[in-house]
Amino acid sequence: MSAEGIYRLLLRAYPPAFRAEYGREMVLVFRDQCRDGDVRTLGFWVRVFWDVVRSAPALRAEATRTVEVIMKLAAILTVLLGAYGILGAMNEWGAASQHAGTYVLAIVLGVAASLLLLGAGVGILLQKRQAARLALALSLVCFVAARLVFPWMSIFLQLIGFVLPVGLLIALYWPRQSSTLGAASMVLVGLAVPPLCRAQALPLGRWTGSAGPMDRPAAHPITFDVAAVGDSLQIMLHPDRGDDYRLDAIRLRGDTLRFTLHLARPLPPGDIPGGAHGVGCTLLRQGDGSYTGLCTGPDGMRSDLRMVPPGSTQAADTVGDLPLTAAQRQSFVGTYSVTLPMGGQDVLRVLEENGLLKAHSSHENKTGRLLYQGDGAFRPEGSNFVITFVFDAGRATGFTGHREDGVLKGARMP
Amino acid sequence: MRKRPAGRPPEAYLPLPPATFHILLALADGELHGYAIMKGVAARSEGSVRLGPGTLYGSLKRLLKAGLVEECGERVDPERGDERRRYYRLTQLGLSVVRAETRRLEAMVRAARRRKLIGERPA
Repeated sequence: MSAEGIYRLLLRAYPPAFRAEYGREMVLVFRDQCRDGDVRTLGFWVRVFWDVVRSAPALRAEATRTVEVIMKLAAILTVLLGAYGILGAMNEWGAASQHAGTYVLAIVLGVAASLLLLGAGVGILLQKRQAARLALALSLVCFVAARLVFPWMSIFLQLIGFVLPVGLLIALYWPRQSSTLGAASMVLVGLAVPPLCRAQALPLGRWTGSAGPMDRPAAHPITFDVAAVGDSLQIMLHPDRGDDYRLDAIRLRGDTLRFTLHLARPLPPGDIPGGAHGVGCTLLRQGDGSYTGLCTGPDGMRSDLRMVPPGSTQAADTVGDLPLTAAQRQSFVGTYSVTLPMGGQDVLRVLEENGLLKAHSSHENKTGRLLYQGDGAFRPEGSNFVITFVFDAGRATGFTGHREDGVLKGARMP
Repeated sequence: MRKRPAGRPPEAYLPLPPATFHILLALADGELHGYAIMKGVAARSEGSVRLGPGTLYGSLKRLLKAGLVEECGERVDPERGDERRRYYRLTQLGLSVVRAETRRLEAMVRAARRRKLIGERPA
């Protein structure tokens, strides 16, 4: 390869735009250098390489100033997404029939943070760096408040909510390094704004509830496990008996919760899922925070469904006590050895008193009524969980209960 | 012709990087192409400053953008073959800047001389 060929290869170290503008001139100058110097000496090539090593990175760095343009575009995108986030929050507000507690705060904080981030984007575009810094600092305050109000805020949201404003602040205080960091931050801030405005309105944890035909809505006690996975909700439905279901296509808009039930366990190939698989539900939020509504199966069969958030006592009080015959009551009476969720032991004595079933806990030394929910399920009065008995030869032999802290199991003592 | 950025006094460009100062100084002689600038710089600095093509055209690019230098067409340099070469010259702003930098350096040299860091001006 000729000396000029080598130099043409070295020219690739320079930015393409620079090469296009000055490449030919540089080759001419190199040709002159070759003519006037001794191209076969090491010193000649050391000087050539040193010139490339010294000048090319600086010119590359200058070329990346075009990232400033990208940062401006990202800021515009942020402004648009911020506006979209605010509109989304307003839409949520308008769609909700009731505005209570943390939901209101979520919307307010979401709108405030969106507005401030939007303002920061505009500030950067208008070169009002001081205003942008102030807006970013205030948005951080909103995020902190949001985190305090919503301890179940996802890690993803927390990372975006806290790290990005901090990143932008660093970028704004360190202008020479701001290009890449700022551009990346602005894009991510843009992505962060809409999810922020959609605050999670479903408390995480173990929910109770019931399902049944429309004439017996509380026939089957159910528990739900509501968890946050990344930025989305994962809800599992555990019926008192039979298979568990996963809630798919969860959509929470305003007071309306929609989802489809999907059998949790994998089926053998060729097996057709039965039960509640494929049932679609639409529930409406009630004043006490619970959700009630209708589920419709693929065959058109309808049933009632109720979801009661953890810690709700108002909701529990509204659940009735279904009548039992004396014989039915007697089938539950007895003493049960109970394994508590944390591994402790208790002895529960179920007794009948004046036609009412009651339970005495040795562990708590307390007696309370058992409210019949149907299908062998009882809710201890004042609690928000149910225990479901199993029978053998017409007599209860044990029970299982789903409490917030875990599962408790009871077995009849001889 | 590139316009001088409004409202920027020559002193705002100071201090100049050594390579830039040498290029401007070389162009004070008149219109030059790239290799002639390199030769002029090497000769003026008695070989202590050697610009490679990358450093030279990188500096020229910045000087053009700043409006200190302007292109004045392409033509053949009879001494260097029949290739057409791009020629550059100082703008009025470039001339003011190189003068300002010279004054700044002169003042520094005077200050060093007053402190006897260097000898008296040669006769």
